[in-house]
Amino acid sequence: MKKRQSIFVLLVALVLVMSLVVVGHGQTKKPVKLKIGLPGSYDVTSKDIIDKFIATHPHINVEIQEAPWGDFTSKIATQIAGNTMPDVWFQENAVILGYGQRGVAEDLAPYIARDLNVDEYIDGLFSARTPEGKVWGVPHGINPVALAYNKTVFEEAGVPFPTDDWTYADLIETAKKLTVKEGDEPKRFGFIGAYAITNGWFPWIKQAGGSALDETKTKSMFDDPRTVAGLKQLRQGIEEGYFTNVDFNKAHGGDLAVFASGKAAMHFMQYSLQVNMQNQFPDTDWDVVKMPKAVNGERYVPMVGNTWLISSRASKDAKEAAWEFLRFYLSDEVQDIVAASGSTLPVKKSAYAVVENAGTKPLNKKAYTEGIAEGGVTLDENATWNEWRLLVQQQVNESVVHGKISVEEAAAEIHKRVQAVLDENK
Amino acid sequence: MNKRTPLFLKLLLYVLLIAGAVVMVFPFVWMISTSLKTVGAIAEMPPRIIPKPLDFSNYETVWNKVNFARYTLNSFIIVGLDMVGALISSSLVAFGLAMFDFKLRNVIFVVMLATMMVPGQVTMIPTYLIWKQFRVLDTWYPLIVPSYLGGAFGIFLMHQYMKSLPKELYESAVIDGCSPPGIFFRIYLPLSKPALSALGVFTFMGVWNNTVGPLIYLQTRSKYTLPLGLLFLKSENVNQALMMAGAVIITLPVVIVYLLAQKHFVQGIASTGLKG
Amino acid sequence: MHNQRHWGYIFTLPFVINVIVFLLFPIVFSAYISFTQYDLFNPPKWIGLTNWINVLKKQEFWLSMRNVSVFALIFVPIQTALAFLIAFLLNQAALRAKSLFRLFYFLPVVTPWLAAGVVWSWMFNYQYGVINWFLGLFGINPVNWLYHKSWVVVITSIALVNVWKGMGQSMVILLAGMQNVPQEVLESAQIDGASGWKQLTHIVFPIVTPMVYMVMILSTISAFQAFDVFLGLFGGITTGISEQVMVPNLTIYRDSFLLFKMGPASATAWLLFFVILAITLFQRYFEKRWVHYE
Repeated sequence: MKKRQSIFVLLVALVLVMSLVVVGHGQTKKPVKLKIGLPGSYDVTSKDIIDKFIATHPHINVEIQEAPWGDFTSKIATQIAGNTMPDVWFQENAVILGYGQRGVAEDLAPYIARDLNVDEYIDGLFSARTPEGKVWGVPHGINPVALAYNKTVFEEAGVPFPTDDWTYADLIETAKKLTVKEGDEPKRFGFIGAYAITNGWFPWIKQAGGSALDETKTKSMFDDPRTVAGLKQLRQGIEEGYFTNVDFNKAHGGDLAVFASGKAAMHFMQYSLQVNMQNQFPDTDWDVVKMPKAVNGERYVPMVGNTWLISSRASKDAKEAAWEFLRFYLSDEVQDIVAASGSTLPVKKSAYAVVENAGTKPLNKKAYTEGIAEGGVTLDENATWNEWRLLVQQQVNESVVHGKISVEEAAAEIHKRVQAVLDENK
Repeated sequence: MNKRTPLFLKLLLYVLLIAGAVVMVFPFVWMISTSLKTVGAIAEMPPRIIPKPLDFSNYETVWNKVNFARYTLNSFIIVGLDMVGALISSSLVAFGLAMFDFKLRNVIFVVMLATMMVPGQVTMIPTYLIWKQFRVLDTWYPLIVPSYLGGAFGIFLMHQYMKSLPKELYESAVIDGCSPPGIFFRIYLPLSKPALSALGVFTFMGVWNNTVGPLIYLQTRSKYTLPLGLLFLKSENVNQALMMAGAVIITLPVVIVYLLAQKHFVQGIASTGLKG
Repeated sequence: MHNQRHWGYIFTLPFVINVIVFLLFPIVFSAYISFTQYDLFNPPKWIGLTNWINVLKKQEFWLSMRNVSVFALIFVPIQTALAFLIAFLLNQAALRAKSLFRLFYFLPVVTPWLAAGVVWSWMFNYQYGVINWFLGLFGINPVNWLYHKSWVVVITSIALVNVWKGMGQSMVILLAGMQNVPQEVLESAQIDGASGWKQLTHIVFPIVTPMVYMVMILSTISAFQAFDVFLGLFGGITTGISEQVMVPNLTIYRDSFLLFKMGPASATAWLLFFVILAITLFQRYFEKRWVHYE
C-alpha cells in the first residue's frame, strides 16, 4: 500500500513538474478533464497503463471511475440514463454494437482514418465495425478459443497429441478413444461438452458449415441443415458419453477443474483462462493447438472481446482527449503491457512477440495468435446479439444439454424466435 | 414441551430439530470450509468438511486485495446511522398508524404496503435521478437519509407488534394524563424491545449487504463499503476459496449482531412483568 | 383508537415525506415509461398501450406469471407454517441449547447466495447429487430437480430452497411476537394439563396472529418478486434459464439492464404490481376473520 502511495506522490509531482515545463515553453495544450470508466478496476486493465497515460499527458486531468466487473452493467445503465456516464469506457463488444445503434457511442472511423496505420493491427481491430462501415469502438483486448489438451492423459493412453491439421472428425474419434468407463461410471471423458456460445454451440455449428446469422446479420440461419447438424454432433457426443455432460462438470468443480485434473482430455479453451490455469492448476501438463478445421477445410476461431467506446455525449475536447487515450492504448508500449497480462490478446501485431515468447503454459500460443489471423470470427455479433443469443442458449440448454427436446425441434424454435428479434429491430 | 412430555417424544423432537439444523447449517459450514482450502483441495472429490491442510492465507489475500480497514469503517458508519434512523422513524410512524384513527390512516397503510410491491429494477433509475437533482451523487446521503423517513418493512413490523400489545396500556396512560409522545417514548418504545431488536438485525443485514446502492451512488473508492469492495474480487478470475473467504468476511458481522440481539428479541412482556 | 387525530398525522409525517420526495416520482416515472419506448439514452417516445399489449401477447409473460404463482403457493404456506412451528419450539422454556438452535435456524438468512447457490445446485445434481443418492438408498429413482421436464418439479425445488433461505427471518419475527404471550398464562395452562398442541393453537397462535399475518404478507410479496434464488441456483441470467421456469422479475431485469428496453420492463413490473396488490388486498380483506388485535 505504502509503496503505491509513494509512487503515486512521485507521479503527481512528475505531472506537476512536467506541466510547469510545458507551460514554461508556452506550448500548452488546453487542460481538459477526462473521465475513464474501468469495469473490474485494475484487475482487468493494468494500472501501469493508466499511470503512464497520466504521466505522459499532463494537460489531461484524468478521473477514474471503477466498478466491479459483473455489476458494471447496472451502474453504467443508470449513469447513461442520468447523463453522468464517463467519457470513455469498455464493455463486451456486442454491447458496444448495441450502443452504436442507439447513439451512445461515437463513430471512431474518422479518428482511425486520421491517426492510425491500420496495417499495424490485426483485423480484430475492427470487431466493432458495422456492415455500413461505422466503427463503434476499438478493442480492449481479444479473447479467442483454441483446442487445449491434457498431455498427461494423452501420454498415459498412448494416443498422439492433437495437431493443427485436425478436423472435427479427428476430435470426435480421439475423444471416443480416450473415454474410459468403469462399468457404468465414467472415469474419463475425451472432451468437455461445453455448451455456452463461445466454446460450445457456436464453434460446432460453424465447423459443420452453418452459422447463427447470415452475412448481413439480418437473417437467422438456424433453418440451415448444416447448423442443425453441428448442434446434433455436440448433442451426440454428450449423449453417447465421450463428451462430458453438465452434471459431471458441475459435480466435479467446473470445466477447468475437470480438464486440469485429467477427467477430460480436451477442451475448447479461451485464451484468458490460461491465467486461471496458472493460478489454480499450475501442475497440470497441458498445451493448445489451433481449433480443428471445419468440413469445408476452413478454420473458424471464435473470438470475443471487450471494446472501448467514446461517449457521443462527451464534449468535443473530452472526445479528443478520450481518443488520445485510445491511441495511447493502441500504442506499441501499451499493447506490450496488454500482451504481458495474459488475460487478453492485444490487437497490435508488434505485441505478438511478447505473447508468443511468454514462456508460460500453454507454450504454443501461436494456436491463438495464428488462429485468429487465419480464421478469427466474431460470434455473429450485431446490435441485438444479447437478445437473440439468450433465446438460442435457452433452446440449446433444453435440447443439447438436457435432452428434454430434440435438436430439430429446438432449432426450429430458435429460428422462429431469432428471426422475430431480427425483424423487430430492423 | 413440559415435564410431563413423554421421554420418547422429547427425544424425537430433539432428533428432528437437530436433523433440521444440519440442513440449515450445511451451506454455511461448506462456505467456511472452502474458505480454508488450498487451491489444490477445492476440487477434491469427495470434498472434505475439515480441509487438510487448513489454509488461512485466503483471508490474508482478501485482506490485502481490498482496502479493508477503510471499507469496514465506512460500512459500520453507514449501518450505524441507518439503524438509528430506521428504528426511530419506523416505530414513530408505526405508532401513529396503530394508535390513531385518522382519515388517511388506511391510505397511508396501503401505500406503505404498495411501496414494497413495485420491483426495484424499474424504480432504481428514477430514484438515481432524484439524488442527482439534489446534487449528492458520490456521497453517503442516498444511502442514509431514506432510513430516517421510515421504510415499509420496519413500519409494518413495528405496527403489527404495537397492535398486539394490550390496548389498556394506552388508555390507562391517557387517564394518567400522559401526552401521545410521552406514551410513545415512555411506554411503547421500551415495550417494543423484542420487535426493535428484530428490526435492528434486519436493518443491519439489509444495509450491510446492500451492494446496489453503493455501486450506483458511490464513485470515489475511499467512500466504498465493504461488500462493494469485495465485489471486486469477482472481477478477477479468483478461485472459489478466495471468494468464500470474502463471503465469510461479509457474513460474520451479521452473525455477531444476530447473536447480540438474540437475547433481546426473546425477552418481552414476560420478563418486564407486565400483564395483558 | 383515539380521537386525537392530528397526532396520527404528526407521527406518520416522516413516511409521508418519504413518499412525496422519494417514492412518488419513481413510481410515476416507471408508470409513464411503460407507455413509451425508452432505451435509457434517447428521450422516451410515447407509444400508448403498445408495451402492455406486447407483454400480454407474449407467452413468456403468462408462463412467468404461472410459475411465480405456483412458486408463491408452495413457498408462502410452507414457510409460514414451518417458521411458526420452529419459533414455537425454540421458544419453549424447557428446550436445551435454545440459543444454539436459534442461531442454526437463522444461518441460512445470512448465508450469501454465492455459497448457498453452489451447495444447493450440487445437492440437486441429477447424477451426482446428495439428494438423489439418498433417495437411491430407498430404491427411489433419481429426479432431475432443477432441469426436470416438468416445470412443477423445478419450481417446487426452487420454492423449497427459498423456504430454507427465508424461514429464519419469519422465525425471528414470530419469536419476537411470541414474547407477548405472558409466561404466567402458559404456566397456568400447563398446570391445567393443556397439551403442547393445545397451547400452540389456543394460547400462542391467537396472540401472535398479527405477526403471522405480517409474515404471510411479506412472504407473498417477496415470493412474487423472487429473483435471487433463481440466479443463485441457475448461476445468472445469461446462462439461458429455461422459459418454462422463468419468473417476472428475471424478465424485468433482463429487459431493463441487458436489453435496455425499459418500456416492456416497466409494463411487466406494473402488471406484476397489480397482481401482488390484488392478492395482498384479498389477504387484508380476510384479516379480520382470523387476526386478533388486542
